[in-house]
Amino acid sequence: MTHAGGIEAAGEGVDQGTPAVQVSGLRKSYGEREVVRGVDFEVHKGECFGLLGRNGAGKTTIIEICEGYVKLDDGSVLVLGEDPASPSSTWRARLGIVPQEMELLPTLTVSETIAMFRDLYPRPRDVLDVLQLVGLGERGGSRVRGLSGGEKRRLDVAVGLIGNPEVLFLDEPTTGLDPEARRSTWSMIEGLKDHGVTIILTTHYMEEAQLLADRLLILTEGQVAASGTFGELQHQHGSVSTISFRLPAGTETSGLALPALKANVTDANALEFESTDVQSDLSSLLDWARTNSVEVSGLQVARDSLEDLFLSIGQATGSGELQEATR
Amino acid sequence: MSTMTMVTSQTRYNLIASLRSGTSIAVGIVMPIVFFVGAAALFGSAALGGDIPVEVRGAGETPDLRTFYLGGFMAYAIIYTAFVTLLPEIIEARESGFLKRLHGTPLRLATYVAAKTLIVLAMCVISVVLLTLIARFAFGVETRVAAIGGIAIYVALGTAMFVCLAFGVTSFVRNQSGAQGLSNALGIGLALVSGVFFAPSLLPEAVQDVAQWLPLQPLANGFQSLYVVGASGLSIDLRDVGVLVAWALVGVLAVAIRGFRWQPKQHR
Repeated sequence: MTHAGGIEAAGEGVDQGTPAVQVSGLRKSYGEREVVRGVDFEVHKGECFGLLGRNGAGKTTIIEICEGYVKLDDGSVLVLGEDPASPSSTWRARLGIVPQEMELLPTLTVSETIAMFRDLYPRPRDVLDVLQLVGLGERGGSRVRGLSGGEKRRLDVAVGLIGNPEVLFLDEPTTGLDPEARRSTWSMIEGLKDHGVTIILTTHYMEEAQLLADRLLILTEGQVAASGTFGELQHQHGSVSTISFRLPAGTETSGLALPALKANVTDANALEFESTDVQSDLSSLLDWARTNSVEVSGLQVARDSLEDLFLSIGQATGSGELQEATR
Repeated sequence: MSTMTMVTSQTRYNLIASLRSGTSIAVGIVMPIVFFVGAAALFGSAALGGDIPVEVRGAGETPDLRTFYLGGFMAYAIIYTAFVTLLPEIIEARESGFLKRLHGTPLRLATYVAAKTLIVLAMCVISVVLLTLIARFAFGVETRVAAIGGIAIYVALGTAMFVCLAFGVTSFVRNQSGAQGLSNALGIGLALVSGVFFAPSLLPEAVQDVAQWLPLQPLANGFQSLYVVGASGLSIDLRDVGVLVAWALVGVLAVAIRGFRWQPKQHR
């Protein structure tokens, strides 16, 4: 295997600066409907890149073009430096794919299924290791047909991992998982990141994207609505924070110069307002409290979650159905 | 992984899946045996006039109807295993998305075809061996030692041809029910005109003329010609072999021209 080892070393010797995925001017239509309308992005080696957008925004189409399943109409795509439209076996061996829906042979056992895929790759991982990694260590002898939805989904992920990929496409990996299984999948994905695997993740769970993705791209109707790190997105989209606190009963607040109080104040003494400049609003609140000798208690500052941001970006681009996508 | 390892692995796991589902054994092994035993016991019996010789095109006559049936049902077992069962299996794998998933790996089409062929070939060999043994011990139909080579050649050639045809027609089949319909219609239709259930000489001449150029009749005829009275050596009929090779090429050409689709039809 010295020969294969040499190839591997040569592969890793290719300059790390080359992006794992380069997409520019990408367009794709199905019949009359243009589902991807000029999308550009790059995924760096070793990062987790989150692709977000509501159903029909074009996420899966873009992913399937990168995987070599779908031909693009216009633009260019390079994955690990190769054009997915003419995929080679060696190129395929470097990718791991976890599609949204995947059929396996129902009469095979879990271990047999993974072993069958293992045998197709030049440098596979160990079957038992992968099963343990996805939390199916005890289910190796079960038939695929008898798995629960969540177990099936974890088997899909295991099939994507068995070839020890450099780039892993995860199309909604935790859909259908219970909260515990979802959390263990998250820690598994973080483990893969630690091992330098490049991950392209689509998900409808914003907390998942916020937790795992180093950079995000939000698609609306086949176009890039926003992209960057979570912090950059918050900054670009004039993110709003919520400041809440309590005052002693009967406090006179007329002298308090703050932005409009939110309507949904729970009781007379609990106040809440939205702030676009947390630092100055907080200092004017505390100055006022000191001057008037008022005790401010339960002070909290909450920043927007990605979900809030996602919804606001969707509304800004005129799509009212975004809420559906976050369910 | 070397190509050999991939072929072995694909063969192994597809075979396990196939054996567990049981359809291929029922259709490719059990049914031909049941039909052969039924036909040979009823129509092949001396009481019903089964002792008459039956003409085999270009070769001579089998000593009786039972012997004729043996050759016919060998061919029947091969078309039912290598085409009638295989085609819907491929289409199901394609339409369910399983082939799409396989296509995302380094697996090549040739490797997948090789694995499927090996599985089908194994089933056909089992089927033909069982038919031969049952014919020998239940109906007294002797197989000459020299004919075994001929049987092997026809089994290999017939299997390869029907596998090629099965892959060749996949691009014309939209879905699973289409595959079932097409393969069953072709299976039963060809069997009726190819000297499986009864002698071709009972058919109108025009039908006989056409049938001898279709894929199944030359295969049945090939098997049957190994059993004619006075046959010796391999007794391979080169014309039959030529027709089988030609149909295999038709399948290969169809894949070459129309391509092989790994993905289900897009639902968009």
